[in-house]
Amino acid sequence: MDKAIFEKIDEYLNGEMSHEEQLAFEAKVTANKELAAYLNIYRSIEKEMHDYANIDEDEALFRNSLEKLTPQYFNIPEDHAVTQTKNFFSQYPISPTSRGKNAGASKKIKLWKTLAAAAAIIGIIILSVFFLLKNTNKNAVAVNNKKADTAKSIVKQDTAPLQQNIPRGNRVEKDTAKTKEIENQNKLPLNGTNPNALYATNFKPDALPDEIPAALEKPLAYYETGDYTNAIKAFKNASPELAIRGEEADRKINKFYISYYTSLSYMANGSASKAIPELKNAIAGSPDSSYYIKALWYLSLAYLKTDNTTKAKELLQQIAINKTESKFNQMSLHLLKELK
Amino acid sequence: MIVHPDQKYIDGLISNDSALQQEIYEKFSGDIKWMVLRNNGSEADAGDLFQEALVFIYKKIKSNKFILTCPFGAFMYLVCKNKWLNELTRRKRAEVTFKEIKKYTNISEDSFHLADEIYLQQARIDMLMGKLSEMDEVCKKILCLSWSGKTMVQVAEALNLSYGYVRKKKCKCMAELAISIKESAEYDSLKW
Repeated sequence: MDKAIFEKIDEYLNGEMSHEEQLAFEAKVTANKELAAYLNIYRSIEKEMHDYANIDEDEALFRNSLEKLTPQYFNIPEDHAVTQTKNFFSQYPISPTSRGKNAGASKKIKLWKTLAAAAAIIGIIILSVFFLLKNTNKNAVAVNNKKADTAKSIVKQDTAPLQQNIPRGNRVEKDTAKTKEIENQNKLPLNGTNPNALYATNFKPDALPDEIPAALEKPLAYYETGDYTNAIKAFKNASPELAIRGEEADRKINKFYISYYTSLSYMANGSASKAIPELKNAIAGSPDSSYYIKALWYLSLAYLKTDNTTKAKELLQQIAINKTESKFNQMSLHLLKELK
Repeated sequence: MIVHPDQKYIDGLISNDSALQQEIYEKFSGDIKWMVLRNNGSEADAGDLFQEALVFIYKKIKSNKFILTCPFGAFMYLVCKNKWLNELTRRKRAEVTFKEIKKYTNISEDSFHLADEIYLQQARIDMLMGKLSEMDEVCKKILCLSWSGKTMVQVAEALNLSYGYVRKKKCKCMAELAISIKESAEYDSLKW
C-alpha cells in the first residue's frame, strides 16, 4: 500500500476534503478492499487511543481510588515496575493551557517572563534582607527566601471577598486561623519533626505555566514577582470576566489556574488555612494528573501548616502510591518518613 | 434482557462510589490473585491486572451503556483471565496449561460475551502500545499528544516543529502502525 494514501485517509477522517474529493475517495474505498481495511484500522486506532489516552477529572479520581485500594489488597513491593499501559502516556505530559481549542487565547510572552524573572530576583534580594533584619530568633528556619511567609503581609492582606464562593463550612473566619498559624510557628521548637519546620522546608511556590493565558497575565505577573497580596486581588478580579469569556476548555483551565495560584499565593503569604478551600477547588478542576498531584501535594502542606497532621499524612499517602508522578511520589515518601 | 443484581458494582465504578469499590476489592480480588499465582504470576502482577481490568471496564461503561447480565465475579474473572493469557503470551510463558479456578468453570454465555467485548478492546490497546513503544521518539510524541486531545497546531507548538512537518509525520507514523497491525497474526482475531 502506497503510504501517501494515509494522508488522504487522514484528510478524509478529519473532514478536510471538498465534497467532490470526498465522493471520489469513497468510490475508491468501495472499489479497493485493502484501502477499506486500512481506513477502518486508521479510524479504529484513532478512536481506541483517543478514548484510552483521554483521562478526565472523574477518571483521574477513579484511578486515584484504585491506586489507593490495590496496595491494600495486593502485596506490591515498593520497587515493582509500573506496567507499560499505566505509565506510557505519562512520558508525554501535556501542558493544560494548550488543551483548549482556541490556542490563540494563550499567547506566549517571553519578554514579559524575562522582566518578571528580573523583578523576582530583586524581590528575592529584598525579602532576604528583610528576613535577615527581622528575624532575631536564632531557631527560626528561613526556608524559601523568595516566597517566605511574612507576618507583615499577612496582617495587611484582605482576602475575605475571595471566600465568597467557597462553601460556608470551608470558610475561615477572618484572621483568627491565620493568627493561630503565626502563633504556632513562633511557639514550636524548630527541629526536623516539627510540622511547621517541615512545612517550611517543603513549601516552594510552583513555577508559572509554560504558556500564560492572556487573561491571567496580570495576576501571574504579581505572583511571579512575589507580590502575593496583589496577586490574590488580581486573581479575584479576573474571575468574573473569565466565567463568561472564551471557549469552555479555556474557561476551565483559567478557573483551575485561578484557584491553584490563589492558593499558592495564600500559602506564600502565610495564610495556609485560606489556601485549603482554594486547593480543594483546584483539585476538583485539575486539567491533568500532573496538576492534580501537585494540588494534592500543596493541600497536604497546607494541612501540615494548620496542624492537621492526620489529614496531611492521608494526602501524602495518596501521592506516595501514585507512581506516575515520581518527583512528588518521592517527596511524599520522604515527608511521611519525617512525620513518623 | 435481565439486569443482574451485581449491576450495582458497574454503577459503583462509574459513580466513583468508594464503598462499592472497596467491596469489589474485598469480594473479587482474592480470586484474581489466586488465578495469577497459580498461573506463573506474582501478587504484584495480580494487583496490576485487577486494577487495569477495572480501568478498562470503567472506560467501556463510560463510553457505552453497559448492562451486566451475569455475576460481576464471573465477568471480572474472564476479563482478567483473557488479559493474563495475553500477558503470558507476551512473556512467552503461555505454553503451560491454564489452571482455572473451580468456581468459574461453568460460566454462562452472557459472561463470555460481555468479557469478550472488553477483552478485544483491551487486547487492541495492548497491541497498539507494544507497537508504539517500538516506534521512534518523534512518532511517539506526536501520536500521544494528538490522542490526548491536542489539535495538530498545538502538537506542532508543543514540540517546536512546523505544522506541515507534524501533519506529514503523523500520517507516516499512523501508516507504519496501520501496516504493522494489518500484517500481524492477530489482525483477524482482534477484529480490527
